[in-house]
Amino acid sequence: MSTSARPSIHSFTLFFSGVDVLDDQQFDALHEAGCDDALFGVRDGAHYGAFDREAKTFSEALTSAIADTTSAVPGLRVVRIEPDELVTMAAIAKRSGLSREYIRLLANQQRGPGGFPAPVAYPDSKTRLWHWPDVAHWLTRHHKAKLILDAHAADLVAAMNAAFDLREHAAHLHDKNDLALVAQALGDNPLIHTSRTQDGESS
Amino acid sequence: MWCTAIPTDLPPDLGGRGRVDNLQLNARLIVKEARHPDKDIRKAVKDAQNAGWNVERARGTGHRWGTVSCGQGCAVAISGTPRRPGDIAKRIREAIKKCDHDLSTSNTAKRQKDNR
Repeated sequence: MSTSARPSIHSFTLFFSGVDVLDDQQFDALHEAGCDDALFGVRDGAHYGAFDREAKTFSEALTSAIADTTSAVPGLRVVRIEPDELVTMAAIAKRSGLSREYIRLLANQQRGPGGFPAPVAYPDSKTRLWHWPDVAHWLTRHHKAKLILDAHAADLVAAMNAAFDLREHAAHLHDKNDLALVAQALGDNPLIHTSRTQDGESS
Repeated sequence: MWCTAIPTDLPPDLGGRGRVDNLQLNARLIVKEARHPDKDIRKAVKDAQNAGWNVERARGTGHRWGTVSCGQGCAVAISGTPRRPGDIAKRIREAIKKCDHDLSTSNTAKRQKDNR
């Protein structure tokens, strides 16, 4: 797999905190760190970099973009990656190349083999949100998508966003019991063992 | 006749649209290039202006060519030397499309339309 992978352009957007991308000095630092393949901007106070990065894999593109931006500007933190893992029916239709009506029928179990993933959030009475990795896996398994869906990229983005959220929220928790509860929620996760091993090696 | 080759889409501070006399030509050569060096990005910037966005040229000597903003919360910084200008032009259009701010209070869109 990896030997046959040839470089291609991977598109994604990183959202930051601790940076002003419109500031000349910081813009130059980002540019010189190799981020001349991104459009930096602000939307309602959220600073972002929209990348079209050439790399062999999506993971590689993401890894280098995060490394480049965080090394360019001290204090810069990546807080979110788009395409977001929470999707509306319209977004599912767009990402899968299927019609909105067909997605609606699949979701209502009126078409297809059944078992379409259930929505995970209802921000208001008329909006339902699905978890994109669930949907991507389901569509891939049932060969419904017209486009080739990168379910692995969907999983990676969702896990990264969850990790960013955890980092930001855990920073506000100071009570030992609270932190223990969060750690417990992670369960017997290989991530915890990975970070423990690294800590042990560095000390 | 060589004057006809001079682009006429200069910003107002360099004489605005229309004919360019020698004084303005000199000014344009002395002052930093007013247009973005890349054709695709120039088109995207023009689309932004037509959508009511404002262009602010960078004064410094850095990589930033300028900033294009809707004035209500959206802004993108444009490099003078992006790696793949075509991708950046696409991303600029994406930013314009995603902007859901009400720009009706600004007359720029109307003015741009009238000027065409």
